[in-house]
Amino acid sequence: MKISENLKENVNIIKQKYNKDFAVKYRSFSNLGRKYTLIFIDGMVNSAFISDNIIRPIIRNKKLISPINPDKSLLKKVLIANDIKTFSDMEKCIDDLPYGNSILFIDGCNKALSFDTKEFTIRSVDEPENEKAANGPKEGFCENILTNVSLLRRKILNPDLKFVNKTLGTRTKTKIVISYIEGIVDKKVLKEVEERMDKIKIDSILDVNYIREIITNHKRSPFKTAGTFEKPDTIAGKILEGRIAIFVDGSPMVMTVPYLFIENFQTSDDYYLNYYYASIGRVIRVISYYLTLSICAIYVAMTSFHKELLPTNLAISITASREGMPMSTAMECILMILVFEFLRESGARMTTSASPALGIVGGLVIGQSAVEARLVSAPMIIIVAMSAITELMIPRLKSTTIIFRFSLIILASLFGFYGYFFGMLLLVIYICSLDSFGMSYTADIIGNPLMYKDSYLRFPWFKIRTRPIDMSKNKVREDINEKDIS
Amino acid sequence: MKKILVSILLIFITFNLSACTDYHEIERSSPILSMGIDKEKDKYKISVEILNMNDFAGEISVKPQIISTDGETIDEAIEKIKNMSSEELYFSYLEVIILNEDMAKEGIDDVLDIILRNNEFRLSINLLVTKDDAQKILKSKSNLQPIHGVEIANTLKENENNTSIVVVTPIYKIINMMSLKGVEICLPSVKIQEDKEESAYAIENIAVFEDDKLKGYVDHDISKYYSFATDNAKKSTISVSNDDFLVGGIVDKSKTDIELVDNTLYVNLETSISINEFNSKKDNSFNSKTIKKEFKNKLEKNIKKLITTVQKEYSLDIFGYGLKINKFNQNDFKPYENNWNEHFKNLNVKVNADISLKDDIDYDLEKGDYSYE
Repeated sequence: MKISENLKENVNIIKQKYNKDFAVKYRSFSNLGRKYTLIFIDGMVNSAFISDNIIRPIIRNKKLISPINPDKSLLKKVLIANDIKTFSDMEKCIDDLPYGNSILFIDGCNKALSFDTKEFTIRSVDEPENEKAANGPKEGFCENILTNVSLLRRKILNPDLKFVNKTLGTRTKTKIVISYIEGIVDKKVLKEVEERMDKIKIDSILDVNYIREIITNHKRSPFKTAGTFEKPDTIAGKILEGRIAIFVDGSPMVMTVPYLFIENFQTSDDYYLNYYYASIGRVIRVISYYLTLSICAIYVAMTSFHKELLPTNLAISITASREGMPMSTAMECILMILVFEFLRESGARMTTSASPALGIVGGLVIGQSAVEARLVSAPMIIIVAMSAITELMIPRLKSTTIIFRFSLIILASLFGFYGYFFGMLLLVIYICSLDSFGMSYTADIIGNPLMYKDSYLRFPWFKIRTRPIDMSKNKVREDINEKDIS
Repeated sequence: MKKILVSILLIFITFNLSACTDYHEIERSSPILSMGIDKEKDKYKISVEILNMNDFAGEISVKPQIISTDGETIDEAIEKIKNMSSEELYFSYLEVIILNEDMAKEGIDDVLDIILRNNEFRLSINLLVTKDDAQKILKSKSNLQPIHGVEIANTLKENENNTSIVVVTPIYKIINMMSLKGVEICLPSVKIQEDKEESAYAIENIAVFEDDKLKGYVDHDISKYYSFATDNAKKSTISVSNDDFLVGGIVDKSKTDIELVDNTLYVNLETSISINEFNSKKDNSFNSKTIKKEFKNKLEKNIKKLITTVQKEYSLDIFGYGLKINKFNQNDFKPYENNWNEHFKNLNVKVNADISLKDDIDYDLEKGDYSYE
């Protein structure tokens, strides 16, 4: 719909769209016989800016505005606001209004001016809760996309860092930014990402997870094939390796694709600490993932199928502690893990005032009293505690641990080690079958040996001369010939 | 849908055709740690050491309990024990089997047969022979550990590594030795020490077997040198004395090579000894040459005595010399392959020990004079 020359008509259209909305303000004023109406939404705009830089210059204007194209002369001679757009389409005006812009309708002109006047309260840049780093930068993303983009832009001062705008969500009209580095990013992957984004037909996007679940290949997999990160330095590192970052307005998480299995075990701290320490940390995280999946299943299989594998003294103490237990080992194990999951979930959901109660119930009642009441054997508590501690080390994989740990326990309790190994085999095959935007999920493990330098171990920076993943055509990090890479 | 059904069926079959469902809760089985086998007239008398375990609020109490039955066969006797027990007898932790002398004299192949046929038994079980009743040994008071099976197994291991008075021969080695030519079995024996207030047991003489039958024992004084004669010595105390001094040493390393030339068996030792104790009777001078000589004489004399005693009394090659000769020179062994023991009996034995002291310093404490050799 075109904007008409009649001021009243235009204002009425807006009024109809936003009828009964108390926050939409209509400010009418006139100068030298010409009428103007400024429309803005209270709470989203900077009032001082509007009165100083838009209303005051027009009212104080002593010269006559030319009757033909008054918008142009206003723009050039009168208004001193910094960011002004000219619209001739009514829909665009209506869309622009809620994001904190002010619309100026001019009587006798079929164009409207849109001013960037937005100012609203946002959370400040804090240290992220989930991705705490002992060393290195501590700032984390917040909910405002402009702040988030600026946080990233400050890390890479290079015009090759590109930001592509998109609006998704037919109702929420959420702003989305795709970011990458020209010259490093793989064009094919970028094209694929953009195509998949364009195919999204969802009415609302409130968080980055909405997009992640729609655009990944393996939608039903518990493994994430697109990663989300909370820190600008992490995102900068990822896109410098050739990945693509996706910002969503309103979400403090930024998504990167492609996402490989090994990224679940990497933290930003790894790059800011001594490389020996970082490498040991990564290996420990990988071992702990294996343990959290397996330790319960191995215990169940050992004690109920393969007792001969236990050393004599260990077998004696386990037997003694299990004497007269009401439940079978497998049942006991499943029950205790359920209890741990209950504790973990209530710990995540409860109010802070209830946390001492949870500590007492979890530690004393369930841990100590259950053993003293001879409901659960003491070794089982240790095994489940091991499984729980190791799970907490790798929060990115928690959705998979719950599912696969239970499956492995059930397999082990039915078929012993045979079942356990069968389950592990299926799991490994499954992980290897996954892919993320054209990259094999395990590309770091089964690929070019040059890539090992930043996967399970982190080599010192002077040794990492190539990008650790095979997605970028521009492989070399340093200014050297490709032949010299060793 | 069809695909899913087929894959479920395939997975189901893979699991069930494996025949691997041996589910048994750990507390429903009672581990047996040692077993004694006696023979009285025509009946086997089996004693097993079952653990009676309890856990009261974290305090684990383990009490061994001896159950004895008898039967025409070993299996029958074990079945009788099973009838008495509410839990499954579990033999995988069995570490020690003690055989009565009468039983051993008739042959240990019955026992080996049962152990080989039943997959629950480990092949690392230690066999021991006793002159007393096996049951009596199991019922005697143990020295440190409450469980006899664990204690005897540990004692054997300790003695093999730290005193070398025992050479541990687990079941798999015994079975190998029985099938090989040029070697006979010998097992450690255990006895009840009567002189203590409460009866306890001790490892002593080695028992000599021909094929699977017990023939006799070799005395403890010289059986100590069995490990030297067979290249198994690890750490052994050895002491010598003469008019001048009394020296105690620990063997650090010992290597034994044998050689058969014509009718003479040369046993060559290379032994390194570190001095642990030195008592001078005259002056405080330390002469490594004489000390070495004393060690050399003692080792040579005793090893020769051990070998000749076995030659004369049993004419059985418990040292496995025939096997070693066969390994390095088949032609030497071939003519005697079928009557090696006869040939072994008539061999001349020459032992040569090459002693080196670890801290080879001559010194005279009074003069304060040290000189490296």
